[in-house]
Amino acid sequence: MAWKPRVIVFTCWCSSSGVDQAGFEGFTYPPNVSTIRVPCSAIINPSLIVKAFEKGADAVLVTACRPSELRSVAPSRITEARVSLLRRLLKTIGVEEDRLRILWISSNEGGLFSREVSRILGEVERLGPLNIGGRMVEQG
Amino acid sequence: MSRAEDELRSIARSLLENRVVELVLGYERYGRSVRPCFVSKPEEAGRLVWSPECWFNLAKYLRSLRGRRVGVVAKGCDGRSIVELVNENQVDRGSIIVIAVECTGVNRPVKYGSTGAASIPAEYCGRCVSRVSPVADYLVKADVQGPPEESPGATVHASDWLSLFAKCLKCSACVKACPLCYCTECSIEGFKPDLVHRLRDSKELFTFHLTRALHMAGRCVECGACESACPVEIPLTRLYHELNEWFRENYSYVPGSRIGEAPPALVFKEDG
Repeated sequence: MAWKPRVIVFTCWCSSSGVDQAGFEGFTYPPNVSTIRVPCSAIINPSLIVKAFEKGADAVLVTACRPSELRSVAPSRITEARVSLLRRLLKTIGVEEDRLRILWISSNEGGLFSREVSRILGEVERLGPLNIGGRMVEQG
Repeated sequence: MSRAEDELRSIARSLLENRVVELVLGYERYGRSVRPCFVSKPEEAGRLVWSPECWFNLAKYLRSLRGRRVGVVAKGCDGRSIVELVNENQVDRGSIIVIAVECTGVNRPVKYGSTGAASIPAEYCGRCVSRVSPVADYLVKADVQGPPEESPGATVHASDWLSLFAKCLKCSACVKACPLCYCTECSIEGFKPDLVHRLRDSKELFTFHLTRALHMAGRCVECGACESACPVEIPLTRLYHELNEWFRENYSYVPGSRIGEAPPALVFKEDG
C-alpha cells in the first residue's frame, strides 16, 4: 500500500465551522486529515504540536481566524508568533519546517480549506514520512 | 592565591561582618574542581575561590532563598540570569548583593572517567554577550586582561540533533542546573496523560527537548549550565541560542540585558 501522509489540523472554533462548511458546500478533503477543534488558536500549546509530530503526524496545520476579522488581533498574532518560533526550532534540528503551517480560515471558507489542505498534502507527500522514532537513533 | 580571589574574600568578609548579608553564595575548592558553597560566617570567607572551573550558575539558589539577604558571586551570565529572574518577579533585587566577577570564560567540566585534557574552554563562552554582570554592587576585576581564549567551535549539523537527543538519559540535570527552570510544577508533567512519561522513551525525548527549548526561548541567558551539567554532553546552549536569535530578530530582545524589560514571550500586548 502506498504511503499516505498523516496530517493533524488544529482548528479554532471559528475555522472549524469553516471545515464544516467544506462539507456543506460539497467540497472534499482527503481522509488522512484529522481535525482537532480547540476553543481558540491561541490555546494550542506548542508542546502539543511537538507531541503530534512525535506520535506520528507527518505534518501539522493550525487554522486560525484572520487577524483582520477579529475584535482583538492578539490571539491570531500569538499563534502566528508561536508557529513561526516552532518552525525555526524544527529547522534548527533538521526537520523540514514546511511540515508545520498556519492557515487563515474564516467560518465561511470551506472551499479555501479544502483547496489548501489538498495542496499542502501534496507537498508533504513529496517531503516523505517524518518518522521521528526512526531518525532518533544514537550514533557512535 | 590570585588578586581577584583575595578581593572576593575581603568583600565577602566585610559584607558578613557588617551584617549586610546573611549568606554569601560562592565557590569553594572540592577535589580537583570547585563546588558551590554557602558562607555565613566572616571567618569562613577564606573558603571562597575563583577559577575557570566555576561554571555553575549560582543564581539557581536565589529563588529558594527569597526573603533573606544574600550576597552572590556572579559571572556575566549569572548576572544576566539574576536580571531575568528579577524581570520575571522571582527574586527581589533589593535583597541581593551582587558581587560581580569579571569572567574570562569557563572551562568545560572534566567528566568522570574522561581522559581528555584538563582545561578546554567551554564552547558556549565564545558566544558570550557580556563578561561582566549587567547588575553589580561590587566589581572584581579579572587577573588577566585581554581577549578571552578562543574555544574550538565544533559545528553541529541540523541533521545531527535528533541523534544527539537520542543520547539523552533524561536525568533532568539540565533542568536542575538551569537558573530559569524554576516552575514548581513542571509543564511536561502537568498534562494528563503525561506529555513525557517518567520512564525514558527514546521518541519522547524529542518532545522533552523541544518543549524545554520552547520554554527557554527568549529567556535563556546562555550561561551554559545545562550543557556543562549534561552527562552525555548535548550542546543544548547552541539550540537555545538559535531560538534567542529568533527573538533578537523579531523583537530585538536579548535576555537579561536590562532590569524592567520583561521577556516578550511573557507579556501580553493587545496588538500582538
